Amino acid sequence: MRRLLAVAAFGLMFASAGISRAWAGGATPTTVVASQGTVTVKGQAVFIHVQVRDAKGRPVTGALVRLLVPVSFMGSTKDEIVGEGTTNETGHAAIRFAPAQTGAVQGTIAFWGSQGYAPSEATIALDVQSPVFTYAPEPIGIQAWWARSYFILVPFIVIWSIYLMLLWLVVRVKRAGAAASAPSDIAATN
Amino acid sequence: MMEAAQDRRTRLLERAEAPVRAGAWGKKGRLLVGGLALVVAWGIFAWIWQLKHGLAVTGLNNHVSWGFYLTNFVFFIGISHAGTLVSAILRLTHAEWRRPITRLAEMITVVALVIGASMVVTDMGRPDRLQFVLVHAHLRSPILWDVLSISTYIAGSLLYLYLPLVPDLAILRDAAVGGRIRRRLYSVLSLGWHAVPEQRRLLVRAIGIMAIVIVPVAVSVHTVVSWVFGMTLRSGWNSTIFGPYFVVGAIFSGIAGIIVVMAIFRRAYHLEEFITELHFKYLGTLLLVLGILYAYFTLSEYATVGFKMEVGSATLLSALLVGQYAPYFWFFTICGLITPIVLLSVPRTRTIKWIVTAAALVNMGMWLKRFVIVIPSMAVPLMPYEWGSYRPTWVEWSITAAAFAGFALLFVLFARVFPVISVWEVEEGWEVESAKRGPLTSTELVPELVSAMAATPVGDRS
Repeated sequence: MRRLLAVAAFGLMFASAGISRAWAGGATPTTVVASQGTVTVKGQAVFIHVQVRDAKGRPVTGALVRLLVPVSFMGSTKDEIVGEGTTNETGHAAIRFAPAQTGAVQGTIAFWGSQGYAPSEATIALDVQSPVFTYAPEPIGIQAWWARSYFILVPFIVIWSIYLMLLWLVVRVKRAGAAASAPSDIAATN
Repeated sequence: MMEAAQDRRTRLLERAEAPVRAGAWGKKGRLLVGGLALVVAWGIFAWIWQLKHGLAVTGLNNHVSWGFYLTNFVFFIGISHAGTLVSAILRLTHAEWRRPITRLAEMITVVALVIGASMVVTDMGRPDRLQFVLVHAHLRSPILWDVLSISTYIAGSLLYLYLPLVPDLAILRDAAVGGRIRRRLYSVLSLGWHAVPEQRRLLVRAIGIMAIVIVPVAVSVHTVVSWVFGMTLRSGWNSTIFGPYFVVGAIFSGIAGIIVVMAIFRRAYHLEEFITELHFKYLGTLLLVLGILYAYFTLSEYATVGFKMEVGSATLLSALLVGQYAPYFWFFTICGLITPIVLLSVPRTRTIKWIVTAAALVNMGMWLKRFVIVIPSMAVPLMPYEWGSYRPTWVEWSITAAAFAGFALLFVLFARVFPVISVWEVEEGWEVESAKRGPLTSTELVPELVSAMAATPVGDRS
């Protein structure tokens, strides 16, 4: 019973803090509702539907809503604005977002408050999948007559040809030696 | 003057051919060769064990499939660049001081290539499938490029070692050195050399062509070795500068290798008169330049990776700088790179002792550098799994020890059959030197005439 009371007291404390923040400037509290479970493909734009309502459930018109997703840079992660939209007379807005990476994205739809409305936000989960190619991709790399893999052999053929030429020079050295020693051999025989 | 020159030639022949002319091994020689042969034999046993039980007896696994063997392979191929640089480039640039050390450099190339290439075979679980590289050749595979370029380099290095050996083999043939088999070997390999002008012309031409050809071949070899790594998308290997980075590293460790070998042979065979402090200082300067260049490449490589901090590279960099591989990385950086650069820069430490110390540190550091290039990149997970691990077993330690012992053993055996100094090239250097000096001046002629007159009886003077 005591535990229940403590939890209730904490809940009341947090709720009152939220309300006090909302009412601090005399602003009407708001709620952001975003479409959930969006599945998309990397590189393809998706529209996230958002509705902003006030405390009495009435639509908030002309509210600027932003989509923020965590972006890592130089080892630190920060929320960056990747899309935004403005609500119409029914309180609805569509935010365009084209994900650049695959995987699960945890984003935040934020309304930073305006015209006597307090700020509010909602989280969304996006599942970004890899694009499935339904066609054979074009071959990549240099497409030219000289860019063939067997051209790798050309330098080896050139070098081994030089080696053969050098072996021929070695044979000529031997022949020159034989020619030089021949007269003395004849003289020795005589 | 003539007698002095003759004495110098005699000393050169004695020193250069001392190991070749020596009879049976002395006690120290027997111990050295026996010890090295024992280590090699143990390594062969370990390899047979590996062949019998498979690669499971090594520390290699699905994650880290390249370990000590590939580290040794890259290290020895790097060492092999010594011959190319010291011999070919210095020959092409007419650096006269190169003459007494070219043979050693060319020997290093051949021996290191043989050992390095054998490391690839030991890395294979089924060496009998080596033929598949050619039978099922895939021209777009860097592995095939590696096989082609290394075999081309081995053939070229053998030819480049052999050509300048011909006149020296003729000296050994004429001196009837060795037993029947060796005399026959010298006779066949010396190509009937009699130093006639036509033979000299042809040989000089062949050596000149080979000196030009071997440089791009050597550069291509280490570039292709680097591409085996650099053509992949693995963290740490996915780099555009790996080609020149590896080539500079190879020449760096190659020069260090020749300095160490030069110091050992100089001391063992009393070659102080021919391999002088000047050679160490010149090579030390080259080592310093290459060291600074390698430091620049290292900084460039890690700075660009560190700035981008792509997820895989960030974890790799962390493992290298502060993680499990940090001791190896920092040993290389501090002991294998910074300390040698300092030792070679300070005039007080530019002595043979310190230059050799710097070179030895470079060799140790460069082996570890190859280790931190090969292993951590393989351990970084490509998928969101745990890191790979690698702990070499006794089999890999034994084969690695055998590789180094085999390198030394082949060198010692080679020096028993072929002269370690190119006698004819050193003599040619003396001729060039005296030609540059010009004909003897009157002041140089006076002592010559005085000694000639003193040797002639008074009555014979006319």
